[in-house]
Amino acid sequence: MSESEGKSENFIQDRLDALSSIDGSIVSLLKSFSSLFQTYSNSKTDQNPTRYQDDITENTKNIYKNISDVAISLRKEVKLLDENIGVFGKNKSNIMILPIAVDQKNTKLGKKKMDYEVEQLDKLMEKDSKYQESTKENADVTEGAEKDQQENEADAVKKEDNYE
Amino acid sequence: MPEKHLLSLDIDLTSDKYNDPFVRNEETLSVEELIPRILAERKSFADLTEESIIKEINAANDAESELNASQVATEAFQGPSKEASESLDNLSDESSLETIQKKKIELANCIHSAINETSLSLDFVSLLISGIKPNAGKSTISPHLAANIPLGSLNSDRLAGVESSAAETPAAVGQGWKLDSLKRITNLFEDASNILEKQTKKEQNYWNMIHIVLQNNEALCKLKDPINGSNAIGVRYGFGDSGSSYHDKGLAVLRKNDVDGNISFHPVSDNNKHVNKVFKYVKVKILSEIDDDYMVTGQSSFSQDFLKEGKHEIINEIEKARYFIFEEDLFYFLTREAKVLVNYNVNLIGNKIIIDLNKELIEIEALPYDELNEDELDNYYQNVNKDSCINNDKAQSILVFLKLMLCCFYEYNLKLKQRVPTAVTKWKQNNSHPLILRPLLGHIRHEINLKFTNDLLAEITDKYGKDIKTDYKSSRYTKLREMSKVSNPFMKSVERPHSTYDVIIENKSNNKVLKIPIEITSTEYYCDLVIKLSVVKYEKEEDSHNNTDGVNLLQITFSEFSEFSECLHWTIRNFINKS
Repeated sequence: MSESEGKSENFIQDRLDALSSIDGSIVSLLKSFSSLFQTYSNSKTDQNPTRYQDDITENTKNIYKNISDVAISLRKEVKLLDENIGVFGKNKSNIMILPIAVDQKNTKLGKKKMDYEVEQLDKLMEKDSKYQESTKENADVTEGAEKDQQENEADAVKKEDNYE
Repeated sequence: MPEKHLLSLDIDLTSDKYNDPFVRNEETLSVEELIPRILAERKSFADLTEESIIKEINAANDAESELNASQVATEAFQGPSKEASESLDNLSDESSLETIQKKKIELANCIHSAINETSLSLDFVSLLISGIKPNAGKSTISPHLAANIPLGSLNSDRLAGVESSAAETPAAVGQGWKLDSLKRITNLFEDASNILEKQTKKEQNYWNMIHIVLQNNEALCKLKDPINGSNAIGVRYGFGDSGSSYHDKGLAVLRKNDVDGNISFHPVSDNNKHVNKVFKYVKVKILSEIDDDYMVTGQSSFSQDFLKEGKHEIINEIEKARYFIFEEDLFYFLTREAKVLVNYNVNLIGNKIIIDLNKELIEIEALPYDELNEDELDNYYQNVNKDSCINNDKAQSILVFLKLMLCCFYEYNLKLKQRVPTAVTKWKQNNSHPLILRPLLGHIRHEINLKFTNDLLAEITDKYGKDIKTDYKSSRYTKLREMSKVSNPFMKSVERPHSTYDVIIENKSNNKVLKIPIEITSTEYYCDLVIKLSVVKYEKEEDSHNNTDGVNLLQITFSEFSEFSECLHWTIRNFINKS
């Protein structure tokens, strides 16, 4: 589940759940072994061992079914992963599995932080606009420039003029 | 009838040749040895008299002679050994002496082997006991054994009474064993499956949590956990990949809890060591001079925006770490810049940068973040009284400005990194430092200078009003306007502040005109003042509009405001008087 990009709503979670359920059925295999032996040992102590025969058959069937289920679903998972390697848009959440391990870099964080700060500034300016007087302090003036990041650059210059 | 032998010590036996510690020469016993021996034989000295001893000796002699007599009798009875009886009388007879000698040696051997056996069994017991009581064993064990066999190497155990009845029916035993094995196998399988079930639950939990982190658009990577060197998944929570050049790139390990599979967040440093971070945030305070005293008139607020309700704990933890690594980064670069700005009234004291402006102090401080200190976090101190919150918004704006400038640097740096690496970009990468404090300070100082200039011009209008007519217009950010295209919104902050004044002075008496363009700007350091003053004189007013027939009077660059003011005064006075 390592290399994936974009929004991962379903695909990854689905795969995780599927793999986990495979895990679960492998473990339950042991449990059915246990119950098989339980029935077997019961049949040994009982006076009438024949009535356990069906149980044993049932248990054995269960075990084999389990094994085949595990094998099938494992193969399915492998197939799914295989299909999604190196191709885009094969699944709903548009996840592409890369065939090699790529060191992922989070280059968007800086931009995100900047957007956040601009938002903060926006709020401040909104508050300020109520008493936006010519007594504006210098610091705010320079920051006025920052606010304009979202606005037109040409406007920025004009806006500064307004302060005078 | 068994043969009786009278024991008497042969001196030869006690000689060096047969030196036996258990057979001592009675003649040579010392008094210290003699007394215990007598005590052992006679119990007490109390009833020991000379007479009794003499009597005893006599009795013993009698018994001996009697014995001899009986021997004589037996020998007489056994006819053929007549000679032997004769020889018995005579102790020097060789063959009898020899037999006695032989018997004695035999006896000594027996005693020897008895001692041997005893010491062997003592050794055995000592070795056995040394397992339980090492000291007791050590004190009695023989040196040879102690040297060759480790103490406590022998053990004993009580044997339970073996029931022999079951052994009588071997078939039943086999059946029992079989059933037992079956039961055990059943349990083994069940236990194993229970353990594994727990394990898979853990695993599922772990991957689900990793997925939660991934869904938050975090970059995950493989790394080794510095604590135990095991493989783990790490998260790059910091700004190292998005342009930060701070030493801490923001790498953390998502450590798996072995009990329930939950993951926990632990930042690690570059060299894969654990770091214990003290979270600090940057706070801006503005102090104004009120009644010769500096009072706090504004503080930036601190918001815990990074903690979001409804988000998973681990996400909040990552966001929190990210928030504070940015603050750390910011303050680091602020202090770096502050060091260079010492000449411009910027002081660095402890964790505080103090910028001294005209009648105002700006303090930038890194405060430790205390989750429990609600007063601090709710910005309680921000609004103590009316005076103390005048400049709150200003402080907040400064803080946001500082942060934005750092973000700007990140972007710049990232763009450099993403370009094709050449010698130039490499050089740029290594030599770029964020501009944060310098533009702030530069612009603030610039504004102050503009205010001074305005004041000066007003003063001139006031002072020489009756002789001249002054008219001026000013424009700011002129450099920016000259640029054909402003591609980056940060240009305004990063460009040197640059303002111009166009002053036109007309002499009321003769209509001569002085045109004085003033340029106010700074050096690349942002903080030095540079004033370029030039004065052009025109004979008529129209000429000044057409820019013809002008005479250049002055063209000077100032770096001090007072000099500039003086010069301007002088020029105008000259202009009034001369013409």
